[in-house]
Amino acid sequence: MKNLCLSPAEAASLIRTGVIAVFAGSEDALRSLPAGTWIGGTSPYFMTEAGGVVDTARLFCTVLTGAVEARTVALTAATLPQIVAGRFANGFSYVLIPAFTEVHRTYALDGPGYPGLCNQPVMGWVTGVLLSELGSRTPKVFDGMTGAMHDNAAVVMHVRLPAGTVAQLDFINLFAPGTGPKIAFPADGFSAAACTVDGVPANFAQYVTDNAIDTKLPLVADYAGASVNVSIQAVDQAAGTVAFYAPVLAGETYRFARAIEDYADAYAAGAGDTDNAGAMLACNCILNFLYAELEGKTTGGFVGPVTFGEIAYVLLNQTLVRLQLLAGDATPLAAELAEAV
Amino acid sequence: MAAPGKQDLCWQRLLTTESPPEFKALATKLMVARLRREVKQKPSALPTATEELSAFFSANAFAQQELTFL
Repeated sequence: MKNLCLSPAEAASLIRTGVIAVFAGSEDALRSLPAGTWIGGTSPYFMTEAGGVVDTARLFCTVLTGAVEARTVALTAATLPQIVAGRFANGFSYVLIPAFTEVHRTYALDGPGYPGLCNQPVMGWVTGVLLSELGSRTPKVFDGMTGAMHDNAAVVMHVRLPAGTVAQLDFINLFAPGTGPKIAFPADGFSAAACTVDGVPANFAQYVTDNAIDTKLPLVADYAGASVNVSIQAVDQAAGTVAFYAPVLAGETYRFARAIEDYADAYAAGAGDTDNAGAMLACNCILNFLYAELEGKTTGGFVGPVTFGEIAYVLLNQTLVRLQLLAGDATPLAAELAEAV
Repeated sequence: MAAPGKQDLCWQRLLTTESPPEFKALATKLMVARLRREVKQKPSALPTATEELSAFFSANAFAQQELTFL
């Protein structure tokens, strides 16, 4: 992988050389790019080698130097279950989804159950806008191979890797479950009113208010050893509801994350000292960018877009997702399955 | 290590035990967690969940490498 911060003119020149690439940037910057083997999503927030930046003029580009071939597809909420169709026997899929849309909601709620989703890495992120433009502009995704821009469809790039190279996907989470009560919800959703707190029925908004919960802290669930966050978007006391950036799931047990004394220090410790971080495909949550005050700060060598939700197979919040290419062979059976679907 | 057949009771145990083993591969963690949640919510889903879990392990060598819990 090669990560670059480019002007639109530089990006256009690069695309014309035939590279396979993923871009993040403002809508205007992405619109200016020529057709080519690329996909892109709107986010003017990047982590660069010089630190976190807000930049509506330049583009953040990752050239997938290890890839040998790529194909793209746009999927609506109705066609999203086809996300694994068309992937290569050995490779990975990169998905971009515009925030606050039907396709975003559908992927978050139904995606984890799509057949074959976990047989090959699916990385990506949720596209956004400048925070000052929330409500006046919509997040977009771009399919450079067709020249199409979408505001309610996902764009997926299926990437083929050479024999002897495999993609490995994981994420870094600063947060661990705290020692507070166990919280559960009766239904899946991006908002909740009813919940149980240590088994006792309660109103979740009331619980958050009464206990002066720091809503910068996510709810954390243990997914068979993976700590998965659900971040709080807003508490509406009048309505008695809490909105989330990812859905809470019925049947899951959550705890609020253990408090972090200094978010920026914790972030630096969590993301620090990773070999080869700058050469990975990575994305980092806008909430980490804001709460850890990453603008102008470098952390751990990871560079990439700052996003409105991260995807490592499933939708995540307040995490740093990373994909690296390693020497190794793809699973023959998984490869066969990937070709079959 | 090859994955046992879908009728093997290990899949049922993995989905219903109080203390499941921890896996290394993110894909496996997410798959196991989702199916355990589904079975917890709807116990009658256990047969289809065990079948799906068995198929996942059968299809993926990276998952089979972690079958030491058997």
